[in-house]
Amino acid sequence: MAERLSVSDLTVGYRRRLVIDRLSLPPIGGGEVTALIGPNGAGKSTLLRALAGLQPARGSVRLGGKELLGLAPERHAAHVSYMPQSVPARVALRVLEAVISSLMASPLPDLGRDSAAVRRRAMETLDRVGIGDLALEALDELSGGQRQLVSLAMSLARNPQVLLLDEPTSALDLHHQFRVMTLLSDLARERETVTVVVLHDLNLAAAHADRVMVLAGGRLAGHGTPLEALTADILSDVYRVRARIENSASGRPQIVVEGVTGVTAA
Amino acid sequence: MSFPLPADHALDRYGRVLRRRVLVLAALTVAVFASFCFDLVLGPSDLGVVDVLAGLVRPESLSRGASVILWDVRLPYSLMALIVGAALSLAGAEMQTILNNPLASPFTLGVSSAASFGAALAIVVGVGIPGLPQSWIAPANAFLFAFLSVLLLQALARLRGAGVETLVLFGIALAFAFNALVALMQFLASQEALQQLVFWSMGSLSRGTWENLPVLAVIVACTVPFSLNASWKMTVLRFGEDRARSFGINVPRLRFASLLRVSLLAATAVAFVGTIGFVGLVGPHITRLLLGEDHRFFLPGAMLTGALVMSLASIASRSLVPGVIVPVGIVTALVGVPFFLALILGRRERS
Repeated sequence: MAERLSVSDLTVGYRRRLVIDRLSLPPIGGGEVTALIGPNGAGKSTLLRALAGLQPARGSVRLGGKELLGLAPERHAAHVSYMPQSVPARVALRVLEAVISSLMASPLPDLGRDSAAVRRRAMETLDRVGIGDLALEALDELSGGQRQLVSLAMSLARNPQVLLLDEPTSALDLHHQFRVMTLLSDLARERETVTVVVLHDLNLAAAHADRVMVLAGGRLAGHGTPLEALTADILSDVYRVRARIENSASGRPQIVVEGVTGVTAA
Repeated sequence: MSFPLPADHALDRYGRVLRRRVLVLAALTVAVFASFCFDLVLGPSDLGVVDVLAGLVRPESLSRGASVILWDVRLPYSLMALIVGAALSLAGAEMQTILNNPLASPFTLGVSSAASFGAALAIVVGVGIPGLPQSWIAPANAFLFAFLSVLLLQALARLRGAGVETLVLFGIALAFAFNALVALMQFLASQEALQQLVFWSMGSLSRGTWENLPVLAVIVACTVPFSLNASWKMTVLRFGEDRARSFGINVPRLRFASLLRVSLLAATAVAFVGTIGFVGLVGPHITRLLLGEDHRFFLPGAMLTGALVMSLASIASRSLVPGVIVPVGIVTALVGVPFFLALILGRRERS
């Protein structure tokens, strides 16, 4: 039975600014991919960081029956894995070592510190992401997109119950965007992972996500299947664009932006 | 199946990478030992390699004079080079990782300036910790101020929740402040005190004695296990603070423990030998090129590289001008500056 992630009454802010005020979300199911979308500054990354335990927050984040907020870092990391937006360029490690180090950072219940098992798991993950052939390459000689794939592998390798990804496809070409999103769907189904992905590309969200949550100004502006959440009205409210929604043969919506609304004369 | 499995192939190759790193560490160890022996043999009085080695094993095999030269002059000097080099280089390596800054070292962030100021207080004004023997007042003061400067850095990080950039900027500000204070002391100092102070700040291994060597050795021996124990955590920290924390690492605690080790290592080293620049900066960089940043290899590698650089500098300090021991701080800076420039130019080129 897949565990669900329940967020209620979540309040997150920085020193002087409250970004999210008493936000409650519909339960996020395991085994499916949930896309978190919204305009710049909507609080997507802040929400994700709070769920990852990186940003102090009040309220409740429960996985099944277990409260995650306030867990010690090591225990939190046993359930949750997070992929940050940026990947440092200048690290003198090899690709395989990067993934191994993510497994050795804190011991995982199913893996411990058995180095042979750790190495095998790291290599399997690289193969799964499709970069097994880069295993021995130096990180600082890779392209931005390749580094992003390594970063994804680092998060996936820990085989978490909750996977939080902040724009995992921002540096990828079309081919790899598609592959990564398909991989996330496959893994979510295989492992019944709660997968939350922040995306900017609405068509990518529409094509690959099972559920979509639209965040604006720290509040939930819409949610549901892509067809339910990505409507012309919601997009107009949230993004200030005139959008036409087309239904493709696959049953997924496609968004065509035709213009912007509410532009004040500069 | 007749074709090789690619995954196994990659793991085999990774195994070879690890074995090669062990070999590099072994080669560095041999180089350190060779340089140490050469350092011992070198000198105006003609003691051959055989005499030295025999004298180390059986001191009574040497004449009384030769025995004094070997045991009381050369051995402390050469040993001090190794331990100081290892300590400063390890301190630099940890700082560069913890502060995520390739230019961080005990010297760029004010630790040595603070030590100089402490020593200046003792030498010029005679202010020091009461109850210590005369010869220990300057080193004790230097240690105290170096240690305090790092704790001050810490306090800032805790108080404001400041990021690493702020920490680095604060360290640089601290270096300037202490340098200004040292200059002020020099301006106010008497002729005699000024001379003493200038010599102190040059950094010299001749201050290595059988009294202070063990202190430094014990401090290094006590901190190294903790450093090595944190090596995976530090490796992951290279991927950024968020990443490390999301993998369950308590980054503030890791940073605190590491800076504590750094302050102990750097403060003790600087207190005993004075300002020796660039080992803490250059050692880690050479190591990174040789071994990469898997800290299980990087940290011990940095210690060996630091010891080697210092030992070579020690040889240079005694052979540069015949019959004169040039303060080793001058020599290491001369070796260090060109490397430092190459490093900066290389960075510019790549970005």
